[in-house]
Amino acid sequence: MLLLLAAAVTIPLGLDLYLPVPEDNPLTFEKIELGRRLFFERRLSRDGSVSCGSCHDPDRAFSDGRPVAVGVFGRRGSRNAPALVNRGYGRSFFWDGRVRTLEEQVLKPIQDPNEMDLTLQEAAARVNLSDDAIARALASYVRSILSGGSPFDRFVNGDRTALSVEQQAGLQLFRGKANCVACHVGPNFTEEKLHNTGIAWRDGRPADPGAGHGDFKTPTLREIARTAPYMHDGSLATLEEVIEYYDRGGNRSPGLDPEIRALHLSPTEKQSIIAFLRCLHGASH
Amino acid sequence: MRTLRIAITVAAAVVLLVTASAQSLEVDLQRASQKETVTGDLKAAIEEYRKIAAQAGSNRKVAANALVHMAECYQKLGDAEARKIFERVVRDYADQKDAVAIARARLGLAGKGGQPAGIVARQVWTAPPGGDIYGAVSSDGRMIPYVNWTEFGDLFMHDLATNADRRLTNTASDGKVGVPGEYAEESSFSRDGKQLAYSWFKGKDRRYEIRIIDLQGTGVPQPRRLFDNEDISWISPDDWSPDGKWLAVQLHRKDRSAQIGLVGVEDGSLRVLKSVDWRGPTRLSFSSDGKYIAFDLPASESTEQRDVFLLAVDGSREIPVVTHPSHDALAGWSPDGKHLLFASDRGGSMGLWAIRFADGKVQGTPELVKPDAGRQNFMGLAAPGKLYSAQFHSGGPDIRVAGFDFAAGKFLSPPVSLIDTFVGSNQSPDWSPDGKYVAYVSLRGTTGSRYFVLGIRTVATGAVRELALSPGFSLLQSLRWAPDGRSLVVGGRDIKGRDGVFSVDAQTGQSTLLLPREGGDGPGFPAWAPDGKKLYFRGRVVVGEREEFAFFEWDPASGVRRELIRLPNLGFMFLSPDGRYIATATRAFDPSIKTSSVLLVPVAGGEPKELARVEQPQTVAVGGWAPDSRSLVFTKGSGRRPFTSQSEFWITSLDGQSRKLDVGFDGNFGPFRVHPDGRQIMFGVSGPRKPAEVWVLENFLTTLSAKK
Repeated sequence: MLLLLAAAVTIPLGLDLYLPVPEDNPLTFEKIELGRRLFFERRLSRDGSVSCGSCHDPDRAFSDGRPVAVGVFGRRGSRNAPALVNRGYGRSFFWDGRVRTLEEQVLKPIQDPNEMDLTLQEAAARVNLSDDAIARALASYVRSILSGGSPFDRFVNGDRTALSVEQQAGLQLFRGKANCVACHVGPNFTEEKLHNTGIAWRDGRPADPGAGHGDFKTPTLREIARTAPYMHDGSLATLEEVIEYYDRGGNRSPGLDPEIRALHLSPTEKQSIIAFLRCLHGASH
Repeated sequence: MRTLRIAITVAAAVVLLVTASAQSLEVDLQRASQKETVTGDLKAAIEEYRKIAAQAGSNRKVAANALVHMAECYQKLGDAEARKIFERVVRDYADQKDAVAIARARLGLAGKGGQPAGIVARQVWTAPPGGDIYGAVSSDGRMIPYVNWTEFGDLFMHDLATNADRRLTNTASDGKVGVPGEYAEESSFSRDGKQLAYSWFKGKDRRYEIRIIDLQGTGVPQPRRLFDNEDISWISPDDWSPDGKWLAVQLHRKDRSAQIGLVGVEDGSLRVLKSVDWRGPTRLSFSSDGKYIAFDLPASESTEQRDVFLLAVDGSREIPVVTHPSHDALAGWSPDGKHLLFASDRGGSMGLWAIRFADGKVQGTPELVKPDAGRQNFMGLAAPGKLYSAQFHSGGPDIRVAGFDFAAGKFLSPPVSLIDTFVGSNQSPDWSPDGKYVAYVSLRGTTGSRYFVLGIRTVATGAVRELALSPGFSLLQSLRWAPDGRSLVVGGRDIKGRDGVFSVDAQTGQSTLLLPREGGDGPGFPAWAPDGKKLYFRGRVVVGEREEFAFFEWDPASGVRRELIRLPNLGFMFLSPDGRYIATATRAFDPSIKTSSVLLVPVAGGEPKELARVEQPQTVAVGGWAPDSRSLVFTKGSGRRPFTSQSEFWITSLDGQSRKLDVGFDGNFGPFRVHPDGRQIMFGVSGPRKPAEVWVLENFLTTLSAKK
């Protein structure tokens, strides 16, 4: 009765069995496979130099290790390429949350002059598919990228040996004193909402307004150890820098999210949180 | 371009005016509804509704709603005008389907005693004192599970056929001093009625587990622990699958996320189907074929209004069943599995509605089953078509203010009601440090949708300003102004599920978590020191098998907390106005505790001082401090209710010299707050809480069938 989901994907431990899929774009093996090929298809870029996979490298949990994305002709974007794991559970897309569906989202980088720089007509002609078919296939492939079954998932499902003592202490801090769960909550460690963490503020104004006033969407923490550098602009190189940033209460700025305040974490506590974050790697599909 | 800009500006202004007008009419409707349902002034309500209908203009929804309400008021007065207005709604407002549905139903019953023909609502049982109903009725409609708090939270079931009660557990300990409480809460019968699954709270671990008992045989059954997970703080077995193999559960994890899932009855395995808003569903209900689970959820974080959904148990799809701007809360499936029943306020009042579901799809539009279903806690449906619900009568809270002379120990003026809006919903008042404002919380909402708003009353004018709390709260325990008068400090749980102490901005209602819970219960009764540099609160401490309470001092600048006193039966906390002492009383409703005392705890450190002591069955409770911090008022009462009209009032100096006061209060009331001028006191009151009642609605499925 229970394991008949979609059949095209296997839901790993820790994620919801219900994976939202539009009624008009059901998951099929064929579409996922087509989407996978399109994901790594360099012909979908103006100069044939990049594909989706260039900035979303499976070996880096579908991120790219650079502060900001680099597209055709070496053009630099302004934001960090986010990890694509578990986006099938997402409710809004891009750092500023401006897009509501994966089908809509996957076509945007193809059209972005700093990323792949094609019109949809050009892209469709290059792969001999309609833009709608490209969207459905890419969205299906992205839905199939799931990360779960981590030591954390085993721990909260009853295997009390899955986390070390230090990681367990980090989990306690993550949920308590450090207040990380104010935003990084639920199976995917994000409530998918927008916040001003102060990162965007430079010289008294937002260097990137995001969704307005420096608001950006909470990213997942799944696979976080593999997706450095961090934040929407890739300005923090390591997890240590991220923890230090939040420990001091972020950059003071107008509209700073009230959840962000000085934490007074000890060095040991910071290390425990980082140890915990490093256990959020799992079986990626 | 300039012309276009002007046009846009004018258009925007018109839109704003129309929006403001619509909002104003909604407020007027609420006010009129208050007169109709709270104060019971039907004639005044009729006039209010008449004005609203006349002013509604093109807002036909408001006009139709106002007319329906007006007609209902006339109907309650036995006035034939009711029929004319209902007929007008049907004739002139055909586009307002919800209002027309109610009007049609009302026309069908006009002059027949308040019920549509055939539908019967009757009370079938009154729970014993201390009895609370959290569970679902058995599928044959015969057994009602309930928790008895006078029996420390043990689970019982009542047989409606024989009127007999059976004890189902005998190890509960809620209210026993010195031990972490254990007790039952939600429960659900298997479809064959042979087993009962229930949630069991373990105070030592601060979490719930699921237990199952076999109801065959006699005596207290031996429970089987089915599910226990250290990461899950709360879990409720809402329903059994028809084949008896699965329980539909809702749960809260320790990261404060909420989920809907299935637990295997044989092996206790958990399958999480969907992560949801922390507030979660009001209930889960399996479809008769076992393929779907029905539930409701808040439409968004910013609203308490719910919609109804179905989720395939194999996780393959979710189906929105009822998505409507109104509040819609699930009641359950009809026994034949063809209808989903839900409560909705789409008609202007809380009615019972039904929608057909077949072949994996919603069929048609919702049908009104019964208008004015009232505030109910649905307990499930039983064959051949009976809907059970529990009704609670809490004697809604209110706020009173009185002149008071502490020196003489007498009232200067009798207590009078302070807030005249949403009477019966207002509680936890506190004066601002300058005495110019009163802040209080007001509980709003209806079935499956309860929320708090912050009210701030200007003393000089009586004007009330209401603020939506953001994030909102699902539990709000106390409310105190900060010394700077710009914010308030509250203890409670927000809608993100966070327990702790929060600061609430008195201008915006924005709430911020100051101090999260760390083990035990959330910090309670928080109060700032007069200089605003330290916060004091009560916390629960569990050590091994022992449970105790402690008062703490917390320094937000350093994050350091200091324990001031720890006792197993420490009561509420009252910081003196000068910030030097905390007054409290030890509680004694556990028979094993022989005495109850008023204690004075020096904040700077040192031994607490006993100011007064009584022996069982009497108990004492602190009422509040005199404004000069040199004396305090306490009561002598009995049991768990030290503040009743039977209580004695005493005042004691800090050296323990006490005398009885010649004052009395009506009904139940709470501790008081003192105005900064020292000449007025303010306190919350409530009527006596009546035992829960179980009601059943019958014959409504026949009505639905007749409509098809």
